[in-house]
Amino acid sequence: MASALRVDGLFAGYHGGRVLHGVGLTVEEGTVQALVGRNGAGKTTLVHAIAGLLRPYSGVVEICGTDLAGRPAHQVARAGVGIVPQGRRVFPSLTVAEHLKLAARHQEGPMWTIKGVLELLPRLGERLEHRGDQLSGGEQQMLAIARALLTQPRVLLLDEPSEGLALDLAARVRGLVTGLAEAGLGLLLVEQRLDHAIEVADRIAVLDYGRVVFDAPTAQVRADPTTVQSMLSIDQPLPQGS
Amino acid sequence: MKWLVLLPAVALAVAVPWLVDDYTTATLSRLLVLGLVGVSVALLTGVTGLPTLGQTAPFAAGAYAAAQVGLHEVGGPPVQLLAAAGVGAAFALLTAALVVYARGVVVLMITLAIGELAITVASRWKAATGGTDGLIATAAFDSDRARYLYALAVVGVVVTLVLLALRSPAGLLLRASRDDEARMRASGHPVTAYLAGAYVAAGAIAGAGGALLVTTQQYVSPADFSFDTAALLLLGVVIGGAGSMLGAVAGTALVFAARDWLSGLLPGHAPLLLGALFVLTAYLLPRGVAGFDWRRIGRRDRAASPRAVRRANQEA
Repeated sequence: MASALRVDGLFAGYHGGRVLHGVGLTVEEGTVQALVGRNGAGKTTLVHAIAGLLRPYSGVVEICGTDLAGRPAHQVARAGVGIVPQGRRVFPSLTVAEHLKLAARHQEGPMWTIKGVLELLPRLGERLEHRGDQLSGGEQQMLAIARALLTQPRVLLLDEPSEGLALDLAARVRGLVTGLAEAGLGLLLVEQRLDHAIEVADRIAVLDYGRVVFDAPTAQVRADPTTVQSMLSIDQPLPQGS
Repeated sequence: MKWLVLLPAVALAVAVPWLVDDYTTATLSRLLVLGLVGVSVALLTGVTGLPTLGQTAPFAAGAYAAAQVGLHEVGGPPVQLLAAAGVGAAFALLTAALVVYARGVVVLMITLAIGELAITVASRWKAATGGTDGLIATAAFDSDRARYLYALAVVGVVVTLVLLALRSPAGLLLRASRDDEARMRASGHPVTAYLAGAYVAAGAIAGAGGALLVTTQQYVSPADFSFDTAALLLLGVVIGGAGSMLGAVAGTALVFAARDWLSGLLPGHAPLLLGALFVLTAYLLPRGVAGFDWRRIGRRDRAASPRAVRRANQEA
């Protein structure tokens, strides 16, 4: 199995200060790598550094074998990195149709077409003429995912996609994540909730104070969640079925 | 339907020179010129999110280019217009790198500096600009009415082209870049290149405004491009509704009319009037004149009428 994303020795931060201290992480094609961590651990900073929205100080960010560390965001996106940002960040003044039109790449035989994402997310098809600020939280999340898919990613970064969603919608998003991995994408899923990560991920990593302090197959975490729970300062047992 | 509402306004604009005296016609020509420069300010401030105090610079570059084309008898007003638009665009292209990487207040500061530098050059480069004495341009039309109609036609065509461009995918890209630049970059869009394109287009529009200034006023000097003009252009665009091109023309005309006409009624109090106008607009029309939904007034009345209540009850 080839690596869709390989991060190695990544240092990044803001205004000269360091948030990430030599982060290393790999996402294989067709798998979901979950990244969990407490607030302020540096999860979103890592996502932004991978996507080119934040210029790392040093380190490697390889997409399918090509190092893109420090490249501008639009070049990273064109190289195959899609991002579903925290808080969705849909354009309030644009309609759903305009969102999709903006994101769609005019490549020959693209993997994801507007028709394809509307088949995957039929609710969006019913809301094509609605503006971003007229959508519910769940619809906004669907739109954010559709928009990211239309950039033809090979790696998809999802920054807390279940945040603020009702339980059934959050479960639907997790189902979608699993489906996208089965379609061959490599997914880096940033999650606050360990039980959600266990449900969909193939591997789980823990980021703490800007360092990856744990990285193991999900089966290992499921068998003994206490190690990760203690890292996340979680006292409660995992819900049944996780 | 929206365009049908505009028809009477267009008809009135065409008929105006036959309804008012020559002085008023000449003043309206000048307002049209400034309205066109206001469109370039609105394109940057409202559509791309680059608030500017520097559009007087390509305006000046275009005006002097048009004046020189006229003085050297290279061509008439259409040639002057194209030359001025080209020079305005070239000026913007040269300064684009200074502007499009900055955001917010920094853009205001940089564009203010560009505008002030342009005035300094215009004042000192006597061979090209006539210095502070200015340049007297050749008369292309023999009446204020003809000059006004020419200005109206040019403004109409340019504003229509800008509106069509904003409805195209290019307009969509600019609006989205203004709303969430990082999001656009992460979707693979080179936002800086789009902003540079819009900045050059705005330079061409302001340059075309310069050619119109020369045609309508037949004289150009650094005083036409002062900081006051830059500030009033921005004020006019905000009052008109920063994202609206027609609002920019109307707002700019309103502000300069307030300065030129109303100050005659209350000499020395023009700044006070303008300040009051701005405060009133900020409170009553936060999205500018163009952003106000005038139909709401009637709708609210109808909704409250007993007849409307009866009808609603029957439908229920």
